[in-house]
Amino acid sequence: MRRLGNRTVTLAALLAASLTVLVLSRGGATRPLETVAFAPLQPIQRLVNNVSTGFITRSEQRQEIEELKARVRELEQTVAAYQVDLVRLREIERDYDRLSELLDYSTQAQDQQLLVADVIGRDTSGFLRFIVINRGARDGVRVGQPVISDRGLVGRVGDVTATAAWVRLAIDQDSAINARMQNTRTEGTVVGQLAGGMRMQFIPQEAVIEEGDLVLTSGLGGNFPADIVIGQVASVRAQEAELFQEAEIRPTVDFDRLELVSVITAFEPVDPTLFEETIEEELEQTP
Amino acid sequence: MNLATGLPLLFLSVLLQAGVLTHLRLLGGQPDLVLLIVVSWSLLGRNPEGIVWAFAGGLLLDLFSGAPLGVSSVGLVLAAYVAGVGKGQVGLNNVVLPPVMILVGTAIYHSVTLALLVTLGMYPPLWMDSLTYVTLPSGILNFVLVWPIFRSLGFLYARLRSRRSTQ
Repeated sequence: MRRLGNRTVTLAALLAASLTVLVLSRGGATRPLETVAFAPLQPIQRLVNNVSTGFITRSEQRQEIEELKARVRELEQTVAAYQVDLVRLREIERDYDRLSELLDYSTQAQDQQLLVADVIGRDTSGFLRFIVINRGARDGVRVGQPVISDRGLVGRVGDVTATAAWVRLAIDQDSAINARMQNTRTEGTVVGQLAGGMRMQFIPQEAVIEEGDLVLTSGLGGNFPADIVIGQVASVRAQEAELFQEAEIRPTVDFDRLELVSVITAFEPVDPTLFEETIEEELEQTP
Repeated sequence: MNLATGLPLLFLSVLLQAGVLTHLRLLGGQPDLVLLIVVSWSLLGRNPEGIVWAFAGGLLLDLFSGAPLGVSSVGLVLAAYVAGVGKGQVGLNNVVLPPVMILVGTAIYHSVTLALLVTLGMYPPLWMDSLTYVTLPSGILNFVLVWPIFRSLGFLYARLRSRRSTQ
């Protein structure tokens, strides 16, 4: 009876302590403590992560070699076909440049500043999809900044300490990104899926989407620069009874093998007021 | 389990969970090494050691997570408390209770963590999907791993007890 009493008292005390820490942490009060506690763990965590990622990558690479050999032969044939297209497109590009100069038109440089970071860990919770990187507030990383890799969009910074940051991946359940199709310019919202993929929602029914279409950030909302690659359409689900169609997106980034990412610490967001001004001007001109 | 043994063990298990076990995914689930250790120790160790280590392990886990500190502790403490009910009825060769307790512990830990994340607005309230894609696969992986971990901790417990008795 006494033993049960001790256990219950300990349980109640530790539950109360956990909830207190939770409330304090949510309010940011534990941030200095977390910074101090996490800093010495970072090098060890980086080592463990590098070893495990390297091991997994190497073992998977061996299996992939045979598949890749067959794929190389297939791609060589495709490249030959694309070279014909490339010559044609270069001609079009030259025409475009000449016409742009004539019209005194220039595409606005996005003026991005990148900060390279190592991935040192992954979220320990099964429900959340975060990675930990070895750059923090001291390096200029702030909550909300976009994170990319050489293959495309990775996610957004969700939390920062002085020396590390937690990046919410684009495949996280709570991630929502304004996106558009490269070919048709159709817009929608890309959300994360539990199974690890992504889904593009709110695509108008009349939009024509095909498998393999490239999905890019639209830049609307100002959270991400425009035209970062998110993935490719894997399948489309369109039902006449519904207002919108949906598309399963195959990410271009392999989120399980991320080792190096770049945080976009500064970029020129898409200015939605430009569109508002255009609409107002059109309205004014309308008799 | 004293501080000199328990703390490095928890550190190591958290590092492995954040750096290695995240690669061993089955659907959306992954093995919960800290939960496995805490539940096993609750079955083996002295009362209320398991609950105390659950609290410490939860805080360490949350250091590596995007969730606020304390989220994992609540679920782990409750899972350790329930596992502690089986204390004293389990020998090292018991093949029934550790797997049963890890399944119950996984259900408690995941449900509580999910409830807290939804309450904090960090996760959409997709209860059935989350339990199917994350909790069920994690439960299967934990079920597979509980036996070797329970046995290993059992040997550690026996060594610590014999060392204590010789002192």
